[in-house]
Amino acid sequence: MPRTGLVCMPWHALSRPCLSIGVLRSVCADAGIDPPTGYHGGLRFAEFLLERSAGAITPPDYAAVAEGGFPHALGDWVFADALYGNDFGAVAMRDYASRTNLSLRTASAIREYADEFVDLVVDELLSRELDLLGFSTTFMQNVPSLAVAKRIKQRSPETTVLFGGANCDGPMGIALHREFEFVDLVLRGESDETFPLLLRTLADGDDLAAVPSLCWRDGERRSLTNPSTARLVPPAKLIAPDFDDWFPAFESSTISEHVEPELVVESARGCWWGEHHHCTFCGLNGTSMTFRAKPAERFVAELSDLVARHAVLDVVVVDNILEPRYLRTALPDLAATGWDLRLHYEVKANLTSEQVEVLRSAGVCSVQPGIESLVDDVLARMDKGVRAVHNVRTMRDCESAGLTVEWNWLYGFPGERADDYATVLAQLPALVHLQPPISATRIELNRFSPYFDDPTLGFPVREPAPAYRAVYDIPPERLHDLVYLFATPSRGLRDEQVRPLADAVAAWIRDYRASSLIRAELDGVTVIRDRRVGWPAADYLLETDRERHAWRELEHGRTAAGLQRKLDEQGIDWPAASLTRWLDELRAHGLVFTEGGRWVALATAAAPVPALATVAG
Amino acid sequence: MKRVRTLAATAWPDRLTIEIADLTADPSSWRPAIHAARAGAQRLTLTGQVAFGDDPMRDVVVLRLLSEAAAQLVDLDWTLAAEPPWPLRTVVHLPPPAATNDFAHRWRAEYRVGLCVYRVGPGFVRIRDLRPHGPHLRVLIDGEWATGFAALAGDPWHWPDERASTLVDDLTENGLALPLPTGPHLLPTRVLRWPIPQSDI
Repeated sequence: MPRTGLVCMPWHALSRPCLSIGVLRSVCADAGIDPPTGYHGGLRFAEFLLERSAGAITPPDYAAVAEGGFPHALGDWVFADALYGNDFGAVAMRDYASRTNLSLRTASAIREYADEFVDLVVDELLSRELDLLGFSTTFMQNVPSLAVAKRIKQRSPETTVLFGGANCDGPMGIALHREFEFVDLVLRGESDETFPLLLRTLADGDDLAAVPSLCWRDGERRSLTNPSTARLVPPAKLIAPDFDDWFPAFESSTISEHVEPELVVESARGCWWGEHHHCTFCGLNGTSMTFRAKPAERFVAELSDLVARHAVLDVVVVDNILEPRYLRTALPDLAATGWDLRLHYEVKANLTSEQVEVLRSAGVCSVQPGIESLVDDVLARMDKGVRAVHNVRTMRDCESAGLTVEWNWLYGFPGERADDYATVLAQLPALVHLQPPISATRIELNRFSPYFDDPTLGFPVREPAPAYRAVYDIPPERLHDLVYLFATPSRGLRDEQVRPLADAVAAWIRDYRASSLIRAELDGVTVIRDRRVGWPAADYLLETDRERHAWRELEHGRTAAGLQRKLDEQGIDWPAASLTRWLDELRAHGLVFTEGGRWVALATAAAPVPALATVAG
Repeated sequence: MKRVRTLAATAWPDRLTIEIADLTADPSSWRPAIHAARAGAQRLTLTGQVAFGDDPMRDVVVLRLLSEAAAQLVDLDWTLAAEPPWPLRTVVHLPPPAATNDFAHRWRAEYRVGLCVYRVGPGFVRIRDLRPHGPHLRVLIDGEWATGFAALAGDPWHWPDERASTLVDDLTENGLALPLPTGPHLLPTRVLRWPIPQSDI
């Protein structure tokens, strides 16, 4: 069996191990192969920067590039000179930065150390005397990995260089193999089964043509690509990662003095919504959209083992979407442990308040519900499968449960009109007590998204994002298949039409922390306490049965007709004209949000308030 | 729908109060008020002035009240009569008093949520101490020591046995326990609720 190492270069997060290395170590062990050793280049780079710069370049500087650099390929650019030499990309990136008003201060400072770091990595990897080095590459890890791989082959031609990971999915892996001759092998797609097969094939000297999805070279170094298998890893074969090599490396690193460690796990792959309604802008999942969730009891057991083994309670679950059945299985089981977990999950914004409470009880502290917009027309254009009132309901219920909600407001969808935003923007001040978006952002054109795959959907003109010119010394026509981000003429809102949205979001972010709108039940009266910035401090009393019942129905999100029907079913008579006036009154006070003919109550729920006296007016 | 400027104080007051004179060693003298304030999204006021060092029993009760308010993320208003007999680092992770003297001013300036916390996992307790003016610590307590920690956290009047006192000595040496005449008081607060954003802790 080849002596194998797996390499995770910058810009992997410093706080967590590389999931793909952890999974590949496990699948090897499962196949009776010694787990490959991991090389944690992100950690190594951060400590190298800290040491070489005498403390001037800190882990937060690393994180700034790692977390914010992707739209501009900054992390790749940092290593572009180490790959190509001659200060490659310096002028091109300066031009790009000047056009886009981008600061290069941190990335430029870090770039000064990249070449020396690549030599260090090569020294350390070669000292391990390995036969095969596998680079796991996602987002901005391509150029850092290529820079190391190139020098490995220069100094040790007999070492086999393998690339894999999300950056090698679909045509990108083929292009990478074609463009970089020093890359011997590229394993595309999920490699849980093909990686052990590749190791055995190499060990036995068998024909590499038998390894599905593999790009390899013949005797004349020509690039050949094996057909991909249609088979995705089945749920029962999704395996728990092995992080036994990362935690000791983290604990012995100076970075552990700056960063808290966390676990990273997967309970499912693919997206059950995307299988049938792929969100038009979403380029996640690449060639593996089919949703596959681990059996709940196995996931709970795996997570429990990892938490106990590494004594770490912070867990990032990288699933694209929560398996709904987990709300009845895995999550209640986790809640029953009584451990002080902190989990992050991506969810669909159609959760009920009871389901949000299940999340909270299980230790889910932050969610990414894919809210994206509060305009029904835009949500329909992205095929999101939820309406604005569903999004607002999810935001409200997460606020009630104390869950952090991460979301961005996306615009720039083909066909969207400024007029569609008008009624919603007028209501945003009423949402100030709910968690605001991180920002309002024009959508990008990403490989694998429906907008990319089908030019008739609105983006017929596209070319590799301009920042890549400062990163790859490759002509645009050949670069097209290698990269993930594309430039395309803007659609939807014109730049000058974005201002009202941007201003409203800025005000929302500014005033959120000082705002509250809470509903409590006091001795048979529903009280809505308004302490929102921009609204008069007031308490609203719903004193009649029909008001209280109607409010409860509005918490679900109803049309006026639907509300009337629900009240009728409960034997409550409320003439339509009068009910409409009441809804309008609620809206005037900012107590409801309405969009697309639906209305949803905005007050968050206080827990039952004990021992309170009679309500006085 | 009836709109009132604000409800009368007896119905759903913006704040609840606890009289300092009513505090006893029995947590039922203060814990329900913290839970009520949390449930009703109200501020909590501790009336009277707290003078640490005058009454050991009162000291530990107030420290536990402050710790519970921190764990539940309840906003607590209270007043410190004079500088306590401990350095600021000892208490800076607890909800600060009104800015009535220099010590309280500094406390308010340096306090933030989650400065010194513990969390419970399977067979272990994790402590994270980021209080200023001292080393930042990440402490792992496991095995029987974790059980001992839980016992101490649950019962402040519990005098540790000889074995547990080793744990207390270690914690005290690292500034994580406060030796009081009534028994050791654990300084880290448990994370029972997460702030928004949760990354604040």
